Amino acid sequence: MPKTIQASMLATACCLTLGASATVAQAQGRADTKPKVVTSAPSLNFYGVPGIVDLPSGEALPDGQLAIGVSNFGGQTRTNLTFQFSPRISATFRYIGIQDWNSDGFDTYRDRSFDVRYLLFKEGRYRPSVTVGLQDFAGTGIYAAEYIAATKNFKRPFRLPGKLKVTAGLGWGRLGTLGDIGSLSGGTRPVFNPNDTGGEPATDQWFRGPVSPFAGIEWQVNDRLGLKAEYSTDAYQPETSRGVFDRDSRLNFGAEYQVNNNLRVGGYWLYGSEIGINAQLQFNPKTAPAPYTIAGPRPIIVRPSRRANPAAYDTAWASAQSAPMVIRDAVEPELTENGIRLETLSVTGTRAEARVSSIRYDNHAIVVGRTARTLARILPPSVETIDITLMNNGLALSTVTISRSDFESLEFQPDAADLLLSKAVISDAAPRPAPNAVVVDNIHPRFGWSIGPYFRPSYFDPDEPLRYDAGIAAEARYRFAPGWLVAGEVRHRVTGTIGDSTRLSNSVLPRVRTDAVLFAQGADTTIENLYVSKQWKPGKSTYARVTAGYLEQMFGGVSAELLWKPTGNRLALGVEANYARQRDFDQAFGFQDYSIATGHVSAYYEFGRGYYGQVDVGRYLAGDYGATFTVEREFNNGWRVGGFFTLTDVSAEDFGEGSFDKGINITIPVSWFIGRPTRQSVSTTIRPIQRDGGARLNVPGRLYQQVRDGHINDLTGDWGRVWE
Amino acid sequence: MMRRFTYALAAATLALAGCTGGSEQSSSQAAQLRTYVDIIRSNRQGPAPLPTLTPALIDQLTVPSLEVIVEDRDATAFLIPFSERRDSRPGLLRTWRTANDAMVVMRGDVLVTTRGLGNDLAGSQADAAVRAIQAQSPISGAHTIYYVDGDNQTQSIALECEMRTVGAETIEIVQRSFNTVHLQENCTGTRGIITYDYWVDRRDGTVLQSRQWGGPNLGYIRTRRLKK
Repeated sequence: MPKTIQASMLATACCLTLGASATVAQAQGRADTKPKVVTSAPSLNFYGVPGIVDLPSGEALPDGQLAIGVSNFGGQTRTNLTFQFSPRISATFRYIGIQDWNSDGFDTYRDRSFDVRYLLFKEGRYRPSVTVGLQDFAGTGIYAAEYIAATKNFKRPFRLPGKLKVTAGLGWGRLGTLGDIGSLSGGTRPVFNPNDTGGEPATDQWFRGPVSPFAGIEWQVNDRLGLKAEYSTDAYQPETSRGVFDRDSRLNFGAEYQVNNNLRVGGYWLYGSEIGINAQLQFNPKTAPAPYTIAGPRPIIVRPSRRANPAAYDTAWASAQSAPMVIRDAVEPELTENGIRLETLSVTGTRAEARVSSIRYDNHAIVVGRTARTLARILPPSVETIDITLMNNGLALSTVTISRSDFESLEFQPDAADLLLSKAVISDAAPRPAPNAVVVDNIHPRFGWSIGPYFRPSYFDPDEPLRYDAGIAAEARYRFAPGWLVAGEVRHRVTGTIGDSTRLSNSVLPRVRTDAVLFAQGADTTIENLYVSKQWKPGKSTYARVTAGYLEQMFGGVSAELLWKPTGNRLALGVEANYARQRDFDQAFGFQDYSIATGHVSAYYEFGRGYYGQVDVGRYLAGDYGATFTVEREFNNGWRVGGFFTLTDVSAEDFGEGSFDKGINITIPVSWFIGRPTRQSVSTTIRPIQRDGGARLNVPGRLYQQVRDGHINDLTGDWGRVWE
Repeated sequence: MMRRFTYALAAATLALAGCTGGSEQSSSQAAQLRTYVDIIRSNRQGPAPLPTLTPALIDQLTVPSLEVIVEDRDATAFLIPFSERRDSRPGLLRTWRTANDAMVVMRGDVLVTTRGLGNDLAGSQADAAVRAIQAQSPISGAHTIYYVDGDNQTQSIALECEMRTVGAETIEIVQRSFNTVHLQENCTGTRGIITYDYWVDRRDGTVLQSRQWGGPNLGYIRTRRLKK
């Protein structure tokens, strides 16, 4: 037994010594005081949107807010994710389970739905906030409803403490099934059909049929306690007719408790017959749980003035052949210590260019600032112009040109960051360094690896909403020359449930994505990916990549991409061509018979203020032709939330459930959680359902995101931290 | 059998904590787990205990020392000078640092910048306060602070301030008494009322003790000059 303990200790020790140690300043001491509740974000209803109990309100969440709501009553569970995409527009994705359905072939009825809300008016002194909303707007969804709701806040109502929110609205669809006042727009609505493929916007039924007025109040008694009451106009006809629960009343009541700034929980009495609960989690990408903290930089050493010491400004040193090497050997260790990799350095008597890449920072402005500090401290005084070229795996992204005098004089000016940005020039980087550049030794080859657990989730199986595979993954990367990469990952599954599913593909298209269960059943030990890639810059604002190998879990092949993206341009254009072949289910080295030439022409656009759009037109994995539309909001700290949909020449019937491919993307930088710089991030794509139409090949290392990160728009977004 | 068990246990430890290596940072799930484990471990260690201040200890110091307390975090640290410089604005700029590179930058002993604390003060325009301290008399003027918000954007808060002389005060720092002039800068801005207090040494104009605002997220900072 002692031997056993020894071995496990050894393993831990290995991790201790090999693990990237965090060398970050830590403010001494820590706050122990219980945080005060300061949030004023609207509370959520059972559908996960701002509202009362089961009804919506007219308010919007704070800009950028993410809200996760989980509610349950009468055997009905709704899990909701709401994102306030802009100050006025929000979108919600919902997954529901209704127990005791016992009809249409389901015991428990499960469904996904999307909402959008638009804030028509913000609350004014006398005017309420007004929101128009489309609930479950795709297809003849179970929750299909439309509403206009108005909400007004009153401080200290009737001399009572706290705040009162009064909401009134008009509801159509589900919200117009009780107490209607007729139909404003005429028309009828089709009856909800649980077995409809759904998925397509049901424009023909929006705001049609009977309309009912609804109302509710919320009294926020103090910081933490809120009381709610409402008059609901939802008859719950599909549920009550199937005996899911009995609806005895139109009134709902609730009490909610704000646990902290992020979490609110509530208990409710609904429809005169059911007890309900609702857990509401809200947070904002702009507010990190831990503030971004990095050890302070070394101050700049200011050169003596030219008048005081003209000899120091002599450029004769530059003619010495060893000068660049001497400078490089002084600069390189200091940058390395700062988490920056110096790749090449070229110097003349008056100008220097450093090509650097980030080891540690996800914020490129910090890389620029710290590199400039080091150069300003070490370079001979005659060097006045500093060029810092940001590199990413062989790609020169952009060059920031800074005057050394400006850099010295601005260090402690009040608005130093904006002043420096106004003086700096950001331009397209030359593909290669100047001919006189000295290369830093041992930049190549570079090697990295990791071993540890992996978790692969699989969502929304009707029999089991969350399936997963989990086990150990070993992954390694080897960069043997500029722009070259060999990478691979081997996985061994220890436990999992994805392969237990009995729902095999019923797709009439080539089964390019719906064979996931067969892939999961294929083997325990698999090669997740194994490929070689090379990326380079053919020209000043063009980028290229070629990748070959086992690109992803289901396909291998060859991929080539070319991107045009000048650093200051909002528009970027790209073209990608792939030849892909479906891998064997055991995910070893073999392939199946199915192969396809697939590729896209892409246009990317930066709308500004963090909004991005992308259109990809081309041929998809199943051989279908069409286009993918993506909108995304990126926060300067690296958070990204977006949505996409793909329309191809595959008919809704052939596509199957959902009618067309769509989903949401979320990327969270790890630094947001931990408050320390790291380039790691967590990404996930959630699709209501994965079918074979509109499916794209997953190629590792696509160019656009890599390139955009180091271009003017993203760099200026990072710039606030340039002096840190 | 025993050996297999040993290997399995070693593998399990590896698997649970994640293990990384090489000069390339990975973004794999394992590497991310490793990052979290490292952070939790380093956070758990907490700060080293500070020595108890005594006149004897302060006599032993060979370099100037500044005690800095971040009120909201109840955090105390002792800082020593890192560098000094002047620029186009009044006041000597002095960067103070801790052993782990948390930094506080003073311009003529008025707080202008912090680094490495988190929620840092990016910069300040406090020329009037600097001049008031230099003159040991109430010179009023604007006081503007800049900070970086959670979305990396620079925000500024412009304060309208009025400096007043509270009076001559004798303060004690680690059992030693000093004759000072207490200057108080009362400011109003969108965030309400902000107050800066400076206790200025009558003899040489050094700020021996102060309470200054580091912005809405950092809060108030108190300083004591332990050694000039």
